[in-house]
Amino acid sequence: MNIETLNPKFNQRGRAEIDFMISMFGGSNTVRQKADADVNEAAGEISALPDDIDARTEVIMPKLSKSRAHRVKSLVGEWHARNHANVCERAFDEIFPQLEADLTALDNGPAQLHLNPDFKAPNYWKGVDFHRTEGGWDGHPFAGYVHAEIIHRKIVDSSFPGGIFAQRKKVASRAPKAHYDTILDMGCSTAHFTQALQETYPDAKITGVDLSARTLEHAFRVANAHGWDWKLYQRAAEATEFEAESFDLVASYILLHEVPAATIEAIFAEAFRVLKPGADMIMSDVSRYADLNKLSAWKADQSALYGGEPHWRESASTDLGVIAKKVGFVDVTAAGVAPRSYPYVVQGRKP
Amino acid sequence: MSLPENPRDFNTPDRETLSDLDVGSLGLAVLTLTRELWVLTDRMHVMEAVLAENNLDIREDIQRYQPDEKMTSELRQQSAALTERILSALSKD
Repeated sequence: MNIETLNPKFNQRGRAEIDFMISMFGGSNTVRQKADADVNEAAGEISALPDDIDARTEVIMPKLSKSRAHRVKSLVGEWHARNHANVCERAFDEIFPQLEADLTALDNGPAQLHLNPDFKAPNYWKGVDFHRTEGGWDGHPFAGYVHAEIIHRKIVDSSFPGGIFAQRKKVASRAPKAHYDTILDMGCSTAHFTQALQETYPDAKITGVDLSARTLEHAFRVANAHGWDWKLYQRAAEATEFEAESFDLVASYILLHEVPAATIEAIFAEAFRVLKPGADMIMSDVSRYADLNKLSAWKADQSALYGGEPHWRESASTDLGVIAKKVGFVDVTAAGVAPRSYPYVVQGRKP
Repeated sequence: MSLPENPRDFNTPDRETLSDLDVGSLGLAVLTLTRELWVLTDRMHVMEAVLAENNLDIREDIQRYQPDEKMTSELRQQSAALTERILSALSKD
């Protein structure tokens, strides 16, 4: 077991490039604030904005044409989108010779990894550069490590209010029971939420599914590093192939905005199928457009448009509570988590 | 082929290079240059720190140097200030 392997020490160039990405957030604060003020002014009376989100763009953008601050903010965003993954991949590649033996060692342990060499990725996922990462989630031989331990742990966590890991723990603890024997994490990715689930329910046997082989490989390392006996499968959340009524809790974290609305419903239906009677579901995702005012929703939509989020609009426009009830869940609740109403959490029980 | 009436016109030819269409790419290049400048600045800071600690061959020391929390914070503040100066120049009306 080597937890330190999951907290890399970079060479000077890699470290400085990553630090630059981090400090860029603070360094662009002034121009971002000015740009935001210009957007607010261009939007005018929020309630008067069109209901159609593309029509909002037609109202706001022409008025923004004179805002140099907005153009520079867009430039910073574009540069960050194009560079963040590359910077982190380079930093990893620099230290890989020192990490390789320890990473290989983490392939041994109590966890199980089941990759499918004949896996056919769904059309909504295949070839998509999610988060503007070239090659998508499998674009680098150690893409899971790069995203989990460098991009998210080093960069995203530094600018996320309250930290991304505390947020995952907060959501995990919202499941209604104090104890679960078996948990399925749908779209477990590199296991940041899976870890929060395991730490919240230490006796639970956890199974994870994801489409990405590279992220599953890293979840496997995380489990072995901690001595956890997770079972990890390269399967779609909407088609897990597990027996019906085999889990006490089905959970997902920030998966649903990465799939189209029809797939969200299929995921909820699959969760319902594999849950035991009386068992719980808890899914969390980004804020619903219906809960935001027209301008905030438009800003979120613009971020998605340029942030490698092709399914965000459709997903964020979907009422998750309605879908949960439609597939059979009862005692459904759906709301944003205070204080920022983020993430949006939908919970339900299989009768 | 006719020769120019004034050969000195060749001294400063009216040659078009970048256009408005290139502004986005120019901005990306500027930011990339900013990053490279920062990497060098960062390296100098590290070099000074390591030199103070070890008067031998410090190249590997620099490569492996891990700034402590205080130095990390100072470096990030300076990096942010550099970025802000560049962005201020770009965004000034």
